[in-house]
Amino acid sequence: MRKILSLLAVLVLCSVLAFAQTRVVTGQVKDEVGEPVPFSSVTIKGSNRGTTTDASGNFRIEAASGDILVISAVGLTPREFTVGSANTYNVSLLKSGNLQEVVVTTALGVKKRPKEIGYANATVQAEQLTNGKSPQLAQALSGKVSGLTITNANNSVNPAVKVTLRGFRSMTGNNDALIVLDGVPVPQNALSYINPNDIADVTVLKGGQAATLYGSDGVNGAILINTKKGSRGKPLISFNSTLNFERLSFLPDFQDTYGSGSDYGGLTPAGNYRTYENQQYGDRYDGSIRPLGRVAESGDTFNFPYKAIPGERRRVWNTGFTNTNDIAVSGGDATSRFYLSFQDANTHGIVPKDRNRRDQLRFSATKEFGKFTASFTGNYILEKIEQTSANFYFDILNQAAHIPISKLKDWKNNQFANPNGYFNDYYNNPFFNLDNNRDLQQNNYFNGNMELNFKPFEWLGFTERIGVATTNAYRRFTTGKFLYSTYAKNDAYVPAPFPNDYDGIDRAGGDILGSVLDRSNFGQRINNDLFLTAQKDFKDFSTSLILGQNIQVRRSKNIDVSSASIVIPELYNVSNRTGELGGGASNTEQRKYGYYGDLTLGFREFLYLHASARLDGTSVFYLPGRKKSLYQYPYYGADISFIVSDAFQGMKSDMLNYLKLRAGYNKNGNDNLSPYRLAPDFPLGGGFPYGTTAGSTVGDVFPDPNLKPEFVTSYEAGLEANVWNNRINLDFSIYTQKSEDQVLSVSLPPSTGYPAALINVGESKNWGYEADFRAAIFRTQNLTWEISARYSNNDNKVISLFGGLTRLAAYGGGFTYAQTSAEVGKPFPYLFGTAYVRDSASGRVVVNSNDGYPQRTSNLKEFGRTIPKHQLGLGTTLRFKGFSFGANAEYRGGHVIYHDLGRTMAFTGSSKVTTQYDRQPFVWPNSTYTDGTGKFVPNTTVATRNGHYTAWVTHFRQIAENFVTSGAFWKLRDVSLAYTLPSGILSRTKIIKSATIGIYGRNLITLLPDGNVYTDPEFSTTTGNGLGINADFITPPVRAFGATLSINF
Amino acid sequence: MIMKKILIYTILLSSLLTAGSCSKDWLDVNTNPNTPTSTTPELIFTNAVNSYISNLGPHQFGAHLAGQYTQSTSFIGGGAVLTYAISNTDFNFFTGYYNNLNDFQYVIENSTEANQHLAGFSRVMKALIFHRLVDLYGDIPYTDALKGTRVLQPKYDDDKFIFEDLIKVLDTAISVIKSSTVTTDASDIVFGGDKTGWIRFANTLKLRILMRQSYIPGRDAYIVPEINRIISEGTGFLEAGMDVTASPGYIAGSAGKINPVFATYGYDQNFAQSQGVRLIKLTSTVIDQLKNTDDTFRLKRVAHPKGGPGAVKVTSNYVGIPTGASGNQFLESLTSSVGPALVDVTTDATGKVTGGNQTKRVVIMLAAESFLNRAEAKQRFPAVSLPLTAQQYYEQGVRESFRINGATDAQATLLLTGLKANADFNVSPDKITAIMTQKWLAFLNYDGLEAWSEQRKSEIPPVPISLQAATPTRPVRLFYPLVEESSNAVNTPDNINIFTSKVFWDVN
Repeated sequence: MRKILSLLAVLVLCSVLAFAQTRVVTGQVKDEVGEPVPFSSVTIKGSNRGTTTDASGNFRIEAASGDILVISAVGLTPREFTVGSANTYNVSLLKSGNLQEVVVTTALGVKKRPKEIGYANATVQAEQLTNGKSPQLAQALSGKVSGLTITNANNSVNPAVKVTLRGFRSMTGNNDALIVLDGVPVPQNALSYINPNDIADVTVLKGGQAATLYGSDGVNGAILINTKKGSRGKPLISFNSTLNFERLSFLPDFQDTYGSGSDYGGLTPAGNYRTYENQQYGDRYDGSIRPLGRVAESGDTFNFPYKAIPGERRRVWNTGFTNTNDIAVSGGDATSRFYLSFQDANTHGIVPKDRNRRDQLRFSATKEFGKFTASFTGNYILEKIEQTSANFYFDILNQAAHIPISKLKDWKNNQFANPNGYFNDYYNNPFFNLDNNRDLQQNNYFNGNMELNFKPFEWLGFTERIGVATTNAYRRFTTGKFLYSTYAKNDAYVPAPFPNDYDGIDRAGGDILGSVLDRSNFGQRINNDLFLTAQKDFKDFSTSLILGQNIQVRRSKNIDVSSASIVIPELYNVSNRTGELGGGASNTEQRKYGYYGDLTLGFREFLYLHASARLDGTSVFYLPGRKKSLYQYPYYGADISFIVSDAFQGMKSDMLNYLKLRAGYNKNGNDNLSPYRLAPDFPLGGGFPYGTTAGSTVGDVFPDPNLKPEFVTSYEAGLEANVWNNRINLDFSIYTQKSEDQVLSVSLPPSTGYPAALINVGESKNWGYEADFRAAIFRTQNLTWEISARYSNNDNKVISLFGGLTRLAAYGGGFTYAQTSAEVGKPFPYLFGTAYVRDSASGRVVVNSNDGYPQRTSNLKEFGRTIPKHQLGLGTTLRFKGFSFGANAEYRGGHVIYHDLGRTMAFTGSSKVTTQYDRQPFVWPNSTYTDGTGKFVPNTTVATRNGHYTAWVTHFRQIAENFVTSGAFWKLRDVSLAYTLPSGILSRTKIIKSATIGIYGRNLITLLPDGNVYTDPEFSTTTGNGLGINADFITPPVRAFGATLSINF
Repeated sequence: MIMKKILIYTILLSSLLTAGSCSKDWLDVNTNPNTPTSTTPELIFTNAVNSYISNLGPHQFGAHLAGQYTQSTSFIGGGAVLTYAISNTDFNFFTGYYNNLNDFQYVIENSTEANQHLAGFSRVMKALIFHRLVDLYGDIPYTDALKGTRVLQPKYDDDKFIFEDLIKVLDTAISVIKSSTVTTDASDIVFGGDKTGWIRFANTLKLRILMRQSYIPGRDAYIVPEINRIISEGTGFLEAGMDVTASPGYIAGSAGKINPVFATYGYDQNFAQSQGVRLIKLTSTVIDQLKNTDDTFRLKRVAHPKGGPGAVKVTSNYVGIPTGASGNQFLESLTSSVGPALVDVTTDATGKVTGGNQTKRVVIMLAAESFLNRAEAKQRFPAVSLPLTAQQYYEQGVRESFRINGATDAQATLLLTGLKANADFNVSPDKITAIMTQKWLAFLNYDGLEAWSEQRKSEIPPVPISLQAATPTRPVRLFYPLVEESSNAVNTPDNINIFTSKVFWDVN
């Protein structure tokens, strides 16, 4: 067989084999630590013959004795040697000190040299990721790749992130980047649990062309995470321990002049004091001793000075801390490698009693048997999260400044902290709420893959890779049972002389009956790829071909059982209940197959043409009897990479080392649809079943029978250059993407009978550019200093919706008064909200000439896009002898956000803005009124009838415009300083190979524009498409800092 | 050896190219395992009626504008209905009603010979909901409506045309019901399949739709023959004791499955007080009206005394709040909330609510209305062929109102002979005022939207402007909701003014 094929090869390559005296010389290229160097260039000096090493650093070249072979690789110092009598040569190269250029892992795990690639990509090395020791990979990536937007939507011990590349394409569908772990697509939450220390590198493929081979899921770009696979040589044991602290960084601006009270009809706050009010529209603080709440059953009253307690709302937050310990063992020999790691991360949040404990194990092994290579990776994660399901932030935000809340933690023993004696008539003690409402999760994740490579010839290989990602999650929400005392319900009174409107605590009217919701969730993704790779050079041409097929299956099962009332306290089982059993179950399954082909043609190592195509069939668009074209669809793309500096060697100089131009086009099919959306459904009607009576309703969404996948067409072009002796690296990309026939759930006129229809209608455009700059400013033996900057500019626009429809209202969520929508001609998501009625000529706020109050628009006014237009990332690393310093900062801007917590705080009166006129009647700023003839007169005299409750709660709060601010920020994402002990000291120990200690901080500095007195602008109520609205249930922002120790044995 | 390798390559290559070409069957996993993709007219009808009776929004909104309820501003949710600063994002009853209508339309279009009575019943419900939509919005999509994606942007029809067409819909309903052979049907949670009940309901609904137009000058030429046509049909109107009520089979003690009126204005399944008790109060307008005519027996049924259901039931303990007043008078200790006729509870010695009737049927139409509309017809149009006098219908109407509220017939007699204007028919200076006043009182707690519509058409009784109002007039309609304006912009009428753009029958 071999002979036959060799003969074939001889026929094909006869011209190459024309030199009779040559023979085959083989070898392997390694770097200074013994890692193979893939794709290094091996050329015969003085000829145009050459080859490159394969992924394992092996090369094979026809050479004659006496030929000088030049081995070079980016980032390494070139080396020359003369071919002697031996047939095998092992060459090691030393680091050059130039900017590190790396081999790029592209789709399917195929490694390529940067110059072969005609589309934008970026690789982030492990050391950049772990600079700030973020326990989450997503946060560690923030600001480090142009075009990549990581939105940290909240800050709990179980943080939620949204990860997008190059903005939003789909209005209502998924815009999240595909996450690929060791070649296998996994759910996006893998970013939150995977151990950052296990990661070798992360490659970001920014556009759809990069990810065509991943099928529809790659339409939003892909993030390829490669984990450590171990290295050849003696076993290496590394231990890493990190202690991380988190402190509340800032809270909204509070007022500290007025205490408990509400509206009792007066025009000023005087006389509005109530001992039991949650709102803060009461009297001005005067320092007098007053009771809080009512007389307790014991006859005691809780007397306290009526004045603000400075810093009290901060005092209730804990210092969060995370203790992370990692141990990893790796090693291998000539034919095998393994990596084994264990991590324990134990987090305590800033919210008291919030915890997250994560333990994970990873094992990865590779073994070569001649032409076969088999590898396996398995990763098991056990994550236990315990949080309060109460809204602690809300509870604290709305405390009056004189409440000694930090002294009321012990609700079991302190009669004034206990629900039977707590002062507030409407809201319970935050600490009681926190203890009594719990959310426990246990998540078990297993991700694994097996891969078998068979390489019958140097030029041909087969790969079979099967991967599975499974989630088994259990979650239980509980509310403890608490029955109020009869005294609390009926008799608790306010002592004279303070107003006592009624006896009994209002909230005690409804007992807390206790509840439990038990949830079990199973998720599974199976992905199988079987493909061949063929690489062959023909004289001046190189070819590389991939042909393959892919199968994906996703399944989920979700079961809830619940009870709204429990019998015996503290037993949270649905069998311990009165009333009906609640709950439900859902199952989903979706399948997809794909066939793909990918061809790269290279010419003299300076021109590369690459084309790929794929045919997908998807179950979410399949129903028996549907036309094949509706569920099976082809898509394709092509790109070109032209190394100008290699084509015209004369251009090369010490100033210009490398210049590449690239351009690409592709069209991606996207099956952006959940399963079972093709047929109308008839769900159970609200409240049903009532005993034996059933009832069903016509489903709300009318599916178009011809629904089909949507398509995204992208164009991109780019330039990459290395200048000044490879010290400066520039990368510039420009792109435009058009999404057509989007599957939109369009709000229909209610009069059609259906609230919504699912139709292929929307069209949108997404465009932008990215510029990356890296420079090695110093690179001496003892001192290296690198800086980098990344800027991305992204914009998008809704081209059309459907029929006469101009807006998809609240498609991204929000409230009736402030919502993210998609409107024709505008970027999406776009914030709309209630606003002041203004005089169009002067722009002044129109007030009523009788009472001085402003009016609210009946339609929602437009405020702006809610995803950033500009993003700038800055980074630096500095090494001096054993010390290394790194810092990364990020700016985002050009967008607006809505703070619902501002509205909440205006209702309770805890926000500072509500005291800007000292709660006295005031002339609304920049206002005007009509003089009766329709003419607008600037208002300088008509003050609000009332300067406290009505002005702020009834009017100010109702206008969403008051709570819209710029979303801009500057954040110092991470800073680290590490010291590696000199090897001389360690060598004496004979055990420790290296040791590093370091300190670091994350988000130490956050700069916000003046208007944003509320919270972190990244926070959002959703990680869906409706970013830009935050609320009072998101834990406040923190800054983190800590210390870390790494030892290698 | 060579053969073996060839075999391996062949297998590898062919599996590469053919694996997955099981395609079509392999993709056949897209049938919904969670929600049914088929149903029956019975199931849809049951839910559609339940969904109608669970929708308390229009009642509460109407009751506020009819001057019967007022609401605390100290809670989120107060606001627009009392400031009259209503926008097109407030009070969207449009979407809910059309969604409800779509279910009835499904029954009309999908019923077969065997269940065609449901198509008849659904037409009655359709007429009921469409007339309420007209009452709230005037011109609305009607002929083009409920056609799904067949007509994506339904045009608007003239409100008067719709009212006239609804009479024809009810005619069709009656003939469909008559021609069906049903005797009982458990899916009919209104009448259990009783055809006569539905026809009486249809006839009484026709009377309501006709009498709504009674203030339009010259309209008697249309109204009188139409009423006579109802009479000649023969089945008759809703008579004494024949209130139209429904229940899906409420389950006491079960969250989400008790009578929604009880849950909203009273207590939850465990007898914990709902927010409605504190939030929604009866106005001094309605309490004083009852007190001024010595209508104290009915007063003690429609309202709870201040201090709650366990407080002493003396007339002075029944206190209303001026419409739109704010402040602390909303406390249960100070004012009256919706009373025992609907929120029927028992209390222990301390006044704590410990039990109550959570499973009452919800009223869709009152027998009292049937009589009071006939009284108005007879009084206003003597030519109609109604057999009794206006006074006789009036008095029966009042007696029916007493009955459904749980007051006795003897107590009704006291009122009807109590020599108070607008209670005792004989001493009432203006008979129409008496009839309209009693209609307004009959609707109290049962149908706020009907109370407001009748009050709007007649301005009887006069109800005050809300104390919080920014305008000197009360709204006469709602804005088309934002969702309709944005999705059907080409058809939705522009320049709606909620203070002046009146429904066609509102000529006052």
